[in-house]
Amino acid sequence: MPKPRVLSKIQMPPRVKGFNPMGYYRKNAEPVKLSIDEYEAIRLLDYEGLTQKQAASIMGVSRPSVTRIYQKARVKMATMITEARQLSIEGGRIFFDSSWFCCENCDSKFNAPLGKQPECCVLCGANTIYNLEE
Amino acid sequence: MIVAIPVSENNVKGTVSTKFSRSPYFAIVNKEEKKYEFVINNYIDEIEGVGKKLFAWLMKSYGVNTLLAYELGIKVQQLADEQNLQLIIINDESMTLEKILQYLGV
Ligand SMILES: [Zn+2]
Repeated sequence: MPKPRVLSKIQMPPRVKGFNPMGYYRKNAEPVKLSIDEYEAIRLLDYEGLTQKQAASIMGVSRPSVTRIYQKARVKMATMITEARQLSIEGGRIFFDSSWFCCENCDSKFNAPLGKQPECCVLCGANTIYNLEE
Repeated sequence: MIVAIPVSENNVKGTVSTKFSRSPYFAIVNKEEKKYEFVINNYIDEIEGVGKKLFAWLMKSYGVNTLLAYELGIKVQQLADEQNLQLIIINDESMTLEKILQYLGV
């Protein structure tokens, strides 16, 4: 039995819930499901250009875990572009660095430093906010 | 709340710069006093450690406690977390400073 993987720490939620192929896409095909830890691995390693060791330290998991998460993520990204599949970004064994909220009025995301729960959007003041973890 | 906003131009018609650390200007907005000013990013062409230097300067010189951005580099994000800064990530890169000031009531 492999020992259960520890939760990956995510600095910030992904910007969107997923992507649609342009022009053509296979009807009824299941979307490729990229988990948020897989998204984070791609972001840290390929977008930010960090080493696996640095990414492991940011995500709070072991280096071999990062290698595994990253490997899975790459296969999924390749499947998505080769098979022209939809991509959804959701779930995974994760927790956020601090609580994150989204505002339906101005479409911004903001955190709650020091665990202070906001009653309204820190940018526009609207009370149409929801917790991204719920 | 004192917010640092990376902006493409030093006027309210300017939009939010996509890359925080490489933004030519910052708007420093004081929400309570309803004031804002533009400052030049002198670290823009530095090769290494831009995020760290820029962050220290914004904190020390302007008492910034909130960062508003479209995308934050990993270094700035880590520093902001360590200092428990308020972060606001907008989802529209074409948002002008004028619109942001309107949202903040400044
Ligand atoms: Zn809002």
